[in-house]
Amino acid sequence: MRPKLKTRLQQGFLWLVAVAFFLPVLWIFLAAFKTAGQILAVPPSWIFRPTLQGLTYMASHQAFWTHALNSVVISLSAVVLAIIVSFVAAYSFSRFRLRGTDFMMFVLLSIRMVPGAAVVVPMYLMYTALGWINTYPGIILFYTMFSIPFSVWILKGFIDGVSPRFDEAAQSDGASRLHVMFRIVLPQVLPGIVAAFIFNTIFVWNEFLFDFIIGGNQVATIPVALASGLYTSQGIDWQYIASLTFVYTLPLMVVIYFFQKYLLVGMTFGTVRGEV
Amino acid sequence: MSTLTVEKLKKRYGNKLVLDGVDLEVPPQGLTVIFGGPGSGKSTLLRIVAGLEAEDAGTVWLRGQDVTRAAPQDRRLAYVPQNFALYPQMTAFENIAYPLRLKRQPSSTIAPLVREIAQTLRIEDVLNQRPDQLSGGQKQRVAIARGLIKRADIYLLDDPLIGLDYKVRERLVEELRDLQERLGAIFLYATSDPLEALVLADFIVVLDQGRVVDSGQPNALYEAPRHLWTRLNLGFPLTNAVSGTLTKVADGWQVATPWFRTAVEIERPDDGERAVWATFRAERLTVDPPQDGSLLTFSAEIVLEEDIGAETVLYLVGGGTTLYSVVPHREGEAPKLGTVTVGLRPDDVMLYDSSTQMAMGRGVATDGRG
Repeated sequence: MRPKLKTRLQQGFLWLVAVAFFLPVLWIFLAAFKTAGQILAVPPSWIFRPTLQGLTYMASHQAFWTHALNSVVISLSAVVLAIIVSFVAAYSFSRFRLRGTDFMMFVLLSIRMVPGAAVVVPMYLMYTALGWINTYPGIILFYTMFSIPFSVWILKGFIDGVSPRFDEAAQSDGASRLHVMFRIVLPQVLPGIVAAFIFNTIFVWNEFLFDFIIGGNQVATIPVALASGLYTSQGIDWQYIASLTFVYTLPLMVVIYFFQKYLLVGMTFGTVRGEV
Repeated sequence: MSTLTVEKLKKRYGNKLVLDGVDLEVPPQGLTVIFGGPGSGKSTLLRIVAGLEAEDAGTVWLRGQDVTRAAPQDRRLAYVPQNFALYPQMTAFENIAYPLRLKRQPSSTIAPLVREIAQTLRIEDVLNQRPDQLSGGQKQRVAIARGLIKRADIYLLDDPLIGLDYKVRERLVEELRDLQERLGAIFLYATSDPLEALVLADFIVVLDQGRVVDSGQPNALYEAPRHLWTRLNLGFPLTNAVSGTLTKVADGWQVATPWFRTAVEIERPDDGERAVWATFRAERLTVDPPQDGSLLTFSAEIVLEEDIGAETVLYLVGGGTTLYSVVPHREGEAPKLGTVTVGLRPDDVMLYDSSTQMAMGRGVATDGRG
C-alpha cells in the first residue's frame, strides 16, 4: 500500500472514531436549538430551523440561575483558594526540602487517587457533625481540599524548574520571602498556575457526587440540577435538559480549546513546560 | 574591627569540608579579591557573608555587629551572583531598578539612577529588552548594575565575569575598577582567574581547600607568596616547581634538584633534611643566557614551542620533569627544538616545604653549579 494512501486511511479511521464519540454531544447541542417536538423525533431531524425556544424556556426557570451561579461561584472560589494554598505549599516543598518531603508528596498524590465513593460516607458524617451540610463555606472548602493535592504536584514541578538563585538574588536585593514567592517566582510559573486552574476547574465544574451528598438545594450546582431536573410531572423534560447541557458544557469546551496546551503541561507535571 | 570580618567560619556539605575555620578581616577600603581554584570555598564564603547560606560554625561581623543570624535583606549588602539570575519577567531596566523599588524609592529618583549606571556599564541601549534578548555580556552587566545600584557600603561580587569572552572581561574589569574608586566602597570580589585578581585587587586573600593560605597586596603576593598553591596559581605564565632535597652543608643550607643545586637561605632553620619544592617563574628561566657566573645553568631539551602572541612558551625536558620558559615572541624564526643551555638566578628560586607547603626560604645569589 502506498504510504500516502495508508496515512489517509489512518486519518479517516481516526476521524470516524472522533465523530462517533462526538455524536451524542452533537445530538444534545442540536437539541438545545430544537422545539420540544423535534427533539425526540424518529428518525432524528438533522436539518431543521434552529430556535431559541429551549434556551428561553430554560432561562425562565429561576432554578437555572441559582444552579448556574452556584456552579460559577463554588468552582471559582474553590479553585482560586486551592491554588493560593497550593502555591505556598509547593514553594515550601520545593525550596525548604524538609525531611519527609518526598513521602509527603506521595501521600498528597495518593489522596487524589482515592475514589470519591470511598470517602463520601465519612465526609457526610463529618459535615453533619460540623453542621456544614448545604453551606457555601462547607462545599467550597471541600472542593478546595480536593483540588489542593494535584495543584501542589503540578506547581512543585514548575517551581523546581525556577532556579533558587532568583530567590537569593531577590533576597539580597532586599526582598522578603513573601515578596520573592509572589513577585519573583509566581510570574515564572504562570503556565503551571493556568494548568492547575484549568484542571481543577474541570474537576469542580463537573463534580456531582459530593455536591449531591454534602450539598443541598442551596448549593446545588448544574450537574446536580441536571440529575434532579430530569423528571417532571410530564416525564423527562428534554428541552430543559438539552439547553442546560449546552449552557453547562460550552464554557468548558471553549476554555479547553484555547488552553489545551496547558492541559498537556498539567498532565506531565510541568516537565514539558517548554511547549507552552 | 574592620567593616567586614569573619571569624572561624566553617561549612560542610555532606562529607566535604568547604570552609575550614576561615578568618578574614577585609581592609576598610578598596577592592579585596578572594582568589582560589574551583571548589576552594570562595563562593560559599561570599554566600555566607550575604546571608544566603547558613554556616556550621563561626561569626560574621558587619559594621561592628554580629549578623550571623540576620536575614539577607537585613544585612544591607549589594551582591552580584555568579550566574546572572536576571528576573525573566522584567526588562533590563526593571531588573536594575528592582532593589530601589524594594526600598520604595519614587520612580522619579529611580529612572535617572538606572540610566546613570547603565551608561557607565554601556547598556543604556538594551534597557527595554528582556533578559532572553540579551547577550551573555549584556546580561552580566545588567546583573552587575542591579548589584551596584543599591549604593551599599559593601559589595560582594561572586566571579561576575566568569564565562565571558576575553574582550568583554577586559573592559568590564576596567569598568569595575573605576566604579569601585568612584563609589569608595568595599568590594569583595571572588575569582579563580589569576590575571583578574592581579589587575583588580588592592588586597588579595587566597583560599585553598577552605582555608586562607595567603593574603597580601598583589605585588608582594606575586613575588613572595607564603603558600605553594599561591606560588603555582597566582600569575601567568606558569610557575615551575621541581622536587628537591634540602640539606645542611658546612656553610649553611643547600637544595639539590634533578636540574640544579644551589645554596639557600632558610627562614626558620632546623637540623632536619627534608623534601622541598623549588619553584621559579617561567619568565625567569632564560634560554642560552650570556656568560654570567651568578646564574645557575643547566642543559635541557626544548620539545615544544607554543606561540601565545607576544610571547612564546617553551617546554623543556630533562631530569625526569618538564619545565616551562617564556621568552619574547621571535618574529619569523622557526622553532628551535633541541638541547639548549638554560639559566636561572638563584635568588629567583623559592623553596616550599613538601609537607606543609609553606614557604621556607629562597636561593642565595651566588655562582651556580650545573
